[in-house]
Amino acid sequence: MSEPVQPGRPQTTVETGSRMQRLFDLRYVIGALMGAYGIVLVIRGLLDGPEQLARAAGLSINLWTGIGLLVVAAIFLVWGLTRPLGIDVEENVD
Amino acid sequence: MLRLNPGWLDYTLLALYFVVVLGIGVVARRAVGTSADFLLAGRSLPAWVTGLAFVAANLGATEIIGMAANGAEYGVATVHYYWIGAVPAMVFLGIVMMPFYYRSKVRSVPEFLKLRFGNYTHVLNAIVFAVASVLIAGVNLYALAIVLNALLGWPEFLGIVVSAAVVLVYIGFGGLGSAIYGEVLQFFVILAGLIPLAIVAVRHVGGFSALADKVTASALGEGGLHAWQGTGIGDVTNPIGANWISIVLGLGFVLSFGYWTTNFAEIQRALSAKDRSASQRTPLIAAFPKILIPAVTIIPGLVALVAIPNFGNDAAGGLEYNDAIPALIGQLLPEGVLGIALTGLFASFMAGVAANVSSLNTVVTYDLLQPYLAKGRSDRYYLNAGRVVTAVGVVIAIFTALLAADFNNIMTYLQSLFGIFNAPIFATFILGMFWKRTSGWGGFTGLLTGVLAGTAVFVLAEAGVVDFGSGIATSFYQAGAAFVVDVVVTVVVSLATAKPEPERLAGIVYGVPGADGVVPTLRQPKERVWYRKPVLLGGLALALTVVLNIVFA
Repeated sequence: MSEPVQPGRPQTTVETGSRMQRLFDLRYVIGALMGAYGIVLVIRGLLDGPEQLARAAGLSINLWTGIGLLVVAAIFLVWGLTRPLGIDVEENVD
Repeated sequence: MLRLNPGWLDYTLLALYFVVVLGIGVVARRAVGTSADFLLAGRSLPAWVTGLAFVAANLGATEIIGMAANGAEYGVATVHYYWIGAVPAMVFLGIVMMPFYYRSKVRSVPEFLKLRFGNYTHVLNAIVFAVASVLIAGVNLYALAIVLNALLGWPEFLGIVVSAAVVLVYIGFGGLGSAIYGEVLQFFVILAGLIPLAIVAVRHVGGFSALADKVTASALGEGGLHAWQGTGIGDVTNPIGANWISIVLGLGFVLSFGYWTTNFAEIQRALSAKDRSASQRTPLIAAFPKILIPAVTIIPGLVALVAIPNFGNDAAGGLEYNDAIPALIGQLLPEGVLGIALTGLFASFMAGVAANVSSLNTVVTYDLLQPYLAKGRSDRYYLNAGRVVTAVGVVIAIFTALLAADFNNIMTYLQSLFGIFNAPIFATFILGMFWKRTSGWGGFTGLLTGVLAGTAVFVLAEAGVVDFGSGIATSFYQAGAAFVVDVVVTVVVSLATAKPEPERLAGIVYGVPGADGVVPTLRQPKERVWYRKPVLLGGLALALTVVLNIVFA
């Protein structure tokens, strides 16, 4: 007996995505916030002078953190664009 | 000395986070039409969302600040809280227990006890959980207040009230859905602050080997660099102050299994996953970040110990252990990253409160109001009740914040609570899920005496009647006592009382078919791609943990 097939439970996620999920895709929110932080830090990092560098043990930490955040943002935005919500239907195979 | 000097840019970054989180709450309000939307988030989230929320719900500031404090006080052995005290239990939850939870279709952890053991156990667990949630939310608020006070000069009371108000707004609007979305966002913001901090901190002391040399020369000594060396029985020289048996059994088995497998604030995230496989993957996905988080908590703790004069030495007027991360943020991060780190701290404080409040409102509404205190009302009534409980919970948490002020090390305080509340519940669940003979009275008396035994050890240790060596060792023994007493009493009382009626067991106990003819087993869901196979994910997490334990032994 294939156990997780429960009576009355829809087996695809197309129609049943929560109202929460249909309102907005969290991946875009993460991408947007990380992207905004990344842009700000990269600009701030490019403007950093000796004072900021000395504080962070000689590391251009604003610039590097900014670049890292932009990479994270890009990953989430690309993921969101290439696999929009509702496509992910093969999950419930048991 | 801790006072930061954030620039306008830092405040802008912080404000942006507040806007986004409150925005999620406001938008999420439109998704809330029923009490189930508000309290359960509709059981439809993908595993990566619930998984990150699962780890973030535990990534409250008490965790971050407390673990950095432990890092400075006990050294590398603090990894036990992660690799022994979390990952095995998370894997066990994902592979063994989650199928039972998810299949039973319960809305909360206490509700499972209602199905299995009846009303007494249910009410006992629901009340204990509600009290614990409020206490822990209060601890988080207090931690936030002292950090705000130290870093920004805000009066403690103002800090408590403002952050409580923000949590109230976004949970009060969007319920569990916005709590979970907020937690995932918080996860990224915290790491965006802590990773640069750890990197700069290591560079500040001249790299890893210089850090190791300085730790060896510090109060911690050589033992501060090892997780297992110096934990021999009768010959404990490791700063953690506990032998390997009490680490493995107390922290690893009883304390952490109790917390990770039965704490509703965590399980709730997995229950909101969209299907059984996703619910099983929730704690397994969470295990991977959990394995790596000590790098960004313990390292700053060690750096603070060696780089800040008199750190942890109250008598000489030095900073407290809990100041490790705030002090390094102030000392090392320039404007920009400083704002991100500050935002990360804020985010984790608020998420710690939010996780507790969003599970509290579900338990009070579905486990206390609906079945007992206000039966048979309309769904609108329970939705409003959920909102009111949210508000009342936040207000009570503000008052419990004052209670936390008496304890030096926040983490030890939390562990004391978990020891009392979680260890016996785990024993009751395992017996209930896998031993058909466990009766309703057995479950109830076992849980009750377990909680009492844990409390007794705690009180005796606080009163100085017994002495286990260190606060950590005390919480290990306390959890162990609660667990053993629970198991013994449950088994003895179960054998002495009547067998449970078959309908109490149907579909929720191992090997007993449910009304739909489905027999609960540990058979894992078939998934086509490897990264969705629970056993493979769990195995990978455990293997990585073993390797790291050997490297840092």
